[in-house]
Amino acid sequence: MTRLRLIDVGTVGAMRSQSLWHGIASAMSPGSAATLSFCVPGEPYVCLGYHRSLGEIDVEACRQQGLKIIRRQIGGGPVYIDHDQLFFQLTLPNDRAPARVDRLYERFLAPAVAAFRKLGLAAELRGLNEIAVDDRRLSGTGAGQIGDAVTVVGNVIFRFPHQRMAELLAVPSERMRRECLRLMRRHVSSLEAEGFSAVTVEQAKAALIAAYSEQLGLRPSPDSLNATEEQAVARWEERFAQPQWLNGPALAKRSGRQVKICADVWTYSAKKNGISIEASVVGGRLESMHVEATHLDGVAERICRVLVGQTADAKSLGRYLAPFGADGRLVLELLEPGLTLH
Amino acid sequence: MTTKAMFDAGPYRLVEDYYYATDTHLWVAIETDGGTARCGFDPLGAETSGDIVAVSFESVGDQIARGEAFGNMEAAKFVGPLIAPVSGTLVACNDTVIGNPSLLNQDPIENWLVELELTDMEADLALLLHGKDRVTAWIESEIERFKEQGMIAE
Repeated sequence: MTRLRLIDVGTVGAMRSQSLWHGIASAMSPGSAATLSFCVPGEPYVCLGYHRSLGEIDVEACRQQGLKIIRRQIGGGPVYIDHDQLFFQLTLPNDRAPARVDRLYERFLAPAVAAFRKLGLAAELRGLNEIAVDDRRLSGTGAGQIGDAVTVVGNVIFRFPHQRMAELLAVPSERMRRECLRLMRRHVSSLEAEGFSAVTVEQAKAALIAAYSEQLGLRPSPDSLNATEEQAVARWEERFAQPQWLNGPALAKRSGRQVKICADVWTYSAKKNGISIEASVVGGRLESMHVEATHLDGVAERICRVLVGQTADAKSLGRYLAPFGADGRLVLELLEPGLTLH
Repeated sequence: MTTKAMFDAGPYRLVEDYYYATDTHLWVAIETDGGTARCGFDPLGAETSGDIVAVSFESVGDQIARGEAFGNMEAAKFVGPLIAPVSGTLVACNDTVIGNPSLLNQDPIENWLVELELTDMEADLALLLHGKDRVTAWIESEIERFKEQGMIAE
């Protein structure tokens, strides 16, 4: 039976919690063994997906709180990280991973789901890549190809400080921040919130090792980083520290501000021509809506009332907004970019 | 605007004059000046990438060697490199697809990614597939391979 290398570096600093698996992937070659790595971030920080704008984070708040910001080489939005999370990463040569991203997640997150179930949670894979209990996200996941390797990452969240996360987001209004917090409290869960606060880091690791080795048919084999990996980890730490890396690639300017909470939950805010809107989409429907414009007087409230609860697509909402004439068209124009997840 | 001669390869429409990178599923189109080339996804590459939500590129002026990344793409929180099928200097990036990456899924033939000033055109093009019959045979074999792997529907 081929081995599954286990690398467990324990509690590490912010940089190392990211550079560890970036480095393992960079050092991997086509014949390398699959590697399951673990770490617990020993200091809080904010981590940003590769294609996301630094402008999504309140950089000044992070600075005041002494929080590092690290851009990762995988996707997704900004996330708050601290010692109440266990990171796990499966890294394997690119030619042993399905080329199609949905198959990749299906195959390599199934063991993580099994591990959560082994711990007692009714976890399921929702959508492409979300590990959840009902509509509550249990684990942040993502993936990427780094060099000759593919890595699929996730975390076990023991408890999550929703308020702190909400405070670190750059949002155009306090109303939107409160909405982010409300949605996070409802849709971003943790072992503690699910009533599993007794689960320890060691138990979570053991469940993950058992599930990944069983489902992939690999023999777990504890190991440590080799010299090539150590060098690659160090190179990633240098890269993470570079302002050019942190600023990220050139991205298109988006209209409005969207904050994704989990797979099919997000909130959106936009402002134009004296009208501002804030809307939240949950499970394909507009769950909440706020329109503000001095010239709309009582119309804004009526618009919100007819839209809340409707299917979140422009065509459908357009029908409800038609009776409001030009005001309805303006609201739809503002709302439309926020009806799909960026 | 010149009309491109197209042909059918399985369910896909491809351009006769283009060169195709079999390992990365990118096309290469030599521009009329003869010294630069545009690259984009072939339709099978676009289909198997999933819904592309972001693309980013190296900086204009950068030297890119064949086999090196000229950028990255993201689909479903997966970030993967875009590997150059030819070597050259990056002279242009398509801002339209940066602003609206879903165009790459909708029409990968029309929506190019980058333009490179080629540094070793003859040697690089010799490694790419060209010609209706050869490309059709390759696409058909790729479709079978992807079907066997469950990557595309029967």
